[in-house]
Amino acid sequence: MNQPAIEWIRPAAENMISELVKPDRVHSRIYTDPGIFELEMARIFGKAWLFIGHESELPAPGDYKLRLMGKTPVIFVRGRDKVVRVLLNRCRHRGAQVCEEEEGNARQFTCWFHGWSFENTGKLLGVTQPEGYERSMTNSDMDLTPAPRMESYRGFVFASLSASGAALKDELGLAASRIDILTDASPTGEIFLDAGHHKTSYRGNWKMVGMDGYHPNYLHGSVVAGWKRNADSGIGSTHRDDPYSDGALSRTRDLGHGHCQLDLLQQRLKDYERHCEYLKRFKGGAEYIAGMHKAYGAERARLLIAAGGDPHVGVFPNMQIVNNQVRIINPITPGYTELLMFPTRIGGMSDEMNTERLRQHESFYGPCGSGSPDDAEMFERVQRGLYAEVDPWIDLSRGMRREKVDADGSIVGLITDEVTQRGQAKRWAQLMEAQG
Amino acid sequence: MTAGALQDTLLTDWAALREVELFLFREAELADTHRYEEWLALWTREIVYWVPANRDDVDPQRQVALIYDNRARLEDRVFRLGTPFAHAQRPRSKLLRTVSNIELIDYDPARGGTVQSRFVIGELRREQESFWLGRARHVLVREGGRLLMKEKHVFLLRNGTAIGNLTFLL
Repeated sequence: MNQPAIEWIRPAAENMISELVKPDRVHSRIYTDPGIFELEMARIFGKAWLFIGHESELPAPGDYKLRLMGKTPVIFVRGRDKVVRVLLNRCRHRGAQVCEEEEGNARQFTCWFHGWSFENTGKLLGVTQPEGYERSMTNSDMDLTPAPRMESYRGFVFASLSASGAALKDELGLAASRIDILTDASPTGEIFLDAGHHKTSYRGNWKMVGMDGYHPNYLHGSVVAGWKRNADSGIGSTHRDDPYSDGALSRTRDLGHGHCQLDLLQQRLKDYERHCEYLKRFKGGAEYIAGMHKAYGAERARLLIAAGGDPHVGVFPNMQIVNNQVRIINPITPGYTELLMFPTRIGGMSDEMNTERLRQHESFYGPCGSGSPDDAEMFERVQRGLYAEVDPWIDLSRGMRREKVDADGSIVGLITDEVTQRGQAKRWAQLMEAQG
Repeated sequence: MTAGALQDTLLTDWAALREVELFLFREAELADTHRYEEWLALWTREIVYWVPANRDDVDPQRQVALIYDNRARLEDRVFRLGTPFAHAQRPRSKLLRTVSNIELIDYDPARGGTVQSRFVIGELRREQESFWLGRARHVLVREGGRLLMKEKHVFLLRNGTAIGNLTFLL
């Protein structure tokens, strides 16, 4: 099982990485070049910890979801022994996918090419006409291959296609405490990804889904105009007093390891009392606020309630937690990306409150939302523009002179600064240059 | 075909069906031509505009939808599309939809009721031609003599697949 990391493609691009990523700018090719993309699949998506899903997606034994680790199809499944696993969706015989439904419940997975079957734990149940083999296949190592490494943090399951590397907690670093902002939005620490998902796409590179605090007032001008009409509607209630102006208390943060954040906490804390009034309009709102204070103490409860479960963090390379959703970023080709958005249900909130969170999510996100399609439109305009390579550089220098190292070690800048993009590019280059 | 496999329709029902048909054709025309305010005027005061995500048979109170608009959210949607900054509709989609297989379900011409139909929407935006197929369920009510939409549920054939930009009026 200890196979070497997948690295069979070594394009000429390999030796160019340091030429393509500079402290204040990156080259268009990192978004457009097929050779770079293949190298990303090997060196980033073939090695790094990738977010797979949340344990709450698989409440019962046999529950499964199909996911992607780069190009590798996997089954995220809870076995009959109740253990959550990440199994490669590939028959050990001739390689056909053994599961085709995107989600469901299965006692076993059958490869219908030659009839081999596997338990939902991955164990090989049987092969057809076994007398054709000289050894006993069911006692062999022909079970479905698990992802070489799997770890979870607060119910969030991550896996890696490399057998070696840093432990998940070390790789998450400062991002772990940001994930806590979501899970601790529940007085019992329970969140659920059980409300379905938006599956969106755009004809642009996967790295464009970044954390950008500069764009909202321009790209989302149509939404900002709507918020001004009704500050209490949908996401408007969490965006009072323009959190995306440099006069706001909002900050951009590079948390290290490519993890980036639009840190809106202090800005939202300013609005704590008004936000509580908003929550109390719903059945169960007052009880929720009281429960949070009891669970976490007044100071932390205020912060968590104000944050509303939204750390606004990107966990490099394929996960984001933004507003009421957890996201998975799936690179498909250099110029095509799928983005899955899973609205979160928060334990300890009433059904009415969680339904309202769904409606808030839909109002901005997903293919019919007021925000996501405009973001996607802009990513597509960028992708087309990048082919103008006479001047191939993308400028990421905004706020370089005013960024600082904060007490927790994160690099912090004003909300419109490109601290986050620089942090992501830096980590990208590190991983892409790492040999072996 | 076996005799009686299709229920024959009374002449009075044909008149009701024709009125509904003309209403749905009118709605299609306004949506295709991006006449947002006129389309909005086809709705009653209290409304539900629902486009489920992932599957058709879900509870919209517990499962995320592509669209689940009440009156306020629908007005926001129409307002936003009318601003110059709705980039995903700049340029606008060029649209051509066909509405067919119209059936009156539990329908009374005097008061209205539920109407089922199917649609094919051809969309051209930039160089990309897309086809959107689905079923629709309208709840129509008669107010002041004319038919209005109280509810519209749209079940897209591909609501479980990746969708990039679905910002025109369905």
